[in-house]
Amino acid sequence: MRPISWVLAGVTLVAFIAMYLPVLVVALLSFFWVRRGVVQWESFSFDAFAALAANADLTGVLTNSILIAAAASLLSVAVAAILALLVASRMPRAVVALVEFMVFLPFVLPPIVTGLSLLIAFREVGLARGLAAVTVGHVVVVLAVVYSTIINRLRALSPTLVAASADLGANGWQTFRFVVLPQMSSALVAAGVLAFALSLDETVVTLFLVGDSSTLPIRLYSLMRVGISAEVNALATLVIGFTTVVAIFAGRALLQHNPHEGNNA
Amino acid sequence: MVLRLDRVTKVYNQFTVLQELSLDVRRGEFLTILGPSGSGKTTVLQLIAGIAQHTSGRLLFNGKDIGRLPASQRPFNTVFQDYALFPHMTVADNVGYGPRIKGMNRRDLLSLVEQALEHVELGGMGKRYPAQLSGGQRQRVALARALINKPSIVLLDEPLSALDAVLRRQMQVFLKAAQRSSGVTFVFVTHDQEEAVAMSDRICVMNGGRVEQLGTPAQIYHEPSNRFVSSFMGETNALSAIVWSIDNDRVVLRSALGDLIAYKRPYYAFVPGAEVLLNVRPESVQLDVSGGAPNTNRLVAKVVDRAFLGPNSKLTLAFPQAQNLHWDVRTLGNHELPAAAGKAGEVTAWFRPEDCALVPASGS
Ligand SMILES: Nc1ncnc2c1ncn2[C@@H]1O[C@H](COP(=O)(O)OP(=O)(O)O)[C@@H](O)[C@H]1O
Ligand SMILES: [Mg+2]
Repeated sequence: MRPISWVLAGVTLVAFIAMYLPVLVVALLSFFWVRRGVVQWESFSFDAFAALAANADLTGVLTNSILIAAAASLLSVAVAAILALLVASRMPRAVVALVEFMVFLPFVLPPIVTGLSLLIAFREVGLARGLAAVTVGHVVVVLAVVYSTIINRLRALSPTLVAASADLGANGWQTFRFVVLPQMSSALVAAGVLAFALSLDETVVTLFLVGDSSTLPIRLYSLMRVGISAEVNALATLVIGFTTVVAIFAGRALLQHNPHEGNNA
Repeated sequence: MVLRLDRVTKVYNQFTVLQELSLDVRRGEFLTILGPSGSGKTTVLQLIAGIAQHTSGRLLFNGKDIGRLPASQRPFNTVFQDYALFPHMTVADNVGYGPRIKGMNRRDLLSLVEQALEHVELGGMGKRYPAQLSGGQRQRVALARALINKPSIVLLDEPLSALDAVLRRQMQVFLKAAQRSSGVTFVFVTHDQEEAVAMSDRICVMNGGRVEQLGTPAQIYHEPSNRFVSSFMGETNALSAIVWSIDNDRVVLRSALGDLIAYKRPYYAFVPGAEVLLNVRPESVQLDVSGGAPNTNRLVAKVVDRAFLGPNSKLTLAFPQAQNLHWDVRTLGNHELPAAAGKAGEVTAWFRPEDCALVPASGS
């Protein structure tokens, strides 16, 4: 290897260590005791996880977060899919521009502005602060990412496939059901997983809307003042493991979106 | 006649793509729409299929106006230029799509699809996906997917343009045979005049959104009705001339190469004094090798270029009376090359009055 390659390899290694060492430490801490910086290997146990399971407060906020993430991802995918289908179906240019502007705006605004605006707007329409408000807020925040994932797939869909379906006797619904939907299904899954992951750790907008309830990031943030306990490590390990699996799943759905798709251009 | 386009006009954002186009399609024929890229061929097919709507005019099927029927309700099926096979469906599901949409039960569908695949020589390939097929195979899947619906007309949009030369020839033969055996009317689009001549019962030559000529391949080739058709249908030697007199069966022409005689065709509407363009195909120009050529249409020329092309050779002739005028001559094989060229490369070329065609000098 030439010197420049050694430098690149070194930088990469340092970056990877910086990124993943803390994660590794958290995972270690959830299984072992550490005394004066030395891992006590003989102390291996699932005690931290047992403590977590017994901690009604933490499992409660975890359940809240998962419910919100699930609802927000389903809702955002549904809304984004409808918008994308409308935009892809010969809408006037001005309408497309307006829709995309509205979808992308919360993505570029600082979350504090978005959170505050939503808070004010929800008060006007009478939506009380709480988990429902947080869910709607998350939909607003993740919609841009979800929408662009779906619209990109739709734009890549050859218009002659739709024409061919109609030519073979299918009505609009049948064409959607048998041709368009299967082509976009993997994008829907990927977008949903992405929305779930984004919602799970959304903090700033949540702060404005959560009211007396709490979600996992909010609770973890408040726990920092009293110090991190073993069950928090266990919780973090679970979240990291789950997120990794989900990320792999989403990546695969996006990359090989259709194993049978060839050069059908 | 099954289908009639009656003065059909198509306008896309103020741009007229088809202009008062009229065309009859006959039952059971292989009709080719031939024209350069952008001449409106695809648009004609889309209007027939119902994928696009015409701006004015009428579209009559068996006498009924079908112009506002949606594509799904017209008894026509299309083989798209890019095949448009559904990539997420197997070959069998692609082929069975039409009948399945119309509610055919599974068992009938299975045997019908297998039969359709056999018909295009793809028996047993039903479980594959389009991406696993070669270009020619995809082509045949697209054809089977159209034919299985028993359409009155199959519309084919340049289906062979993506194939290499050898496969292309095979598919030409295959398509022609499929059309004959099914008895279904084919409307076939191509920009390749050789393909059109080889496959069609009739050819409709299009240019700039209009029909230039409609006729059998022989008519289109030997009796072009205007300059565009004569130059688009393969190589031709053109010469400006003036009609001098017209007999019962001959037209006497005056040209830079002297007086020439053309056989009078029934459709000619020229009067003496008309400016015309005389066209002689390269294979119709003869070289006087043995000195026995007739006295009419004799041209003294100089060979300025020769090219051996395999089955024949091409000589390029120049004329002392007309600078910048070059004619091409096709001679069989290579053997006539040395013999025909006399002193200083001079030859006598001639053509029969019935081997030339006149078109108006003006117009397209
Ligand atoms: N959807 C469309 N919108 C605007 N112009 C079009 C559209 N489809 C075709 N055209 C124009 O119409 C003309 C004819 O196109 P087409 O029918 O595709 O020609 P061909 O198939 O003979 O190449 C072209 O100039 C093309 O740009
Ligand atoms: Mg075309």
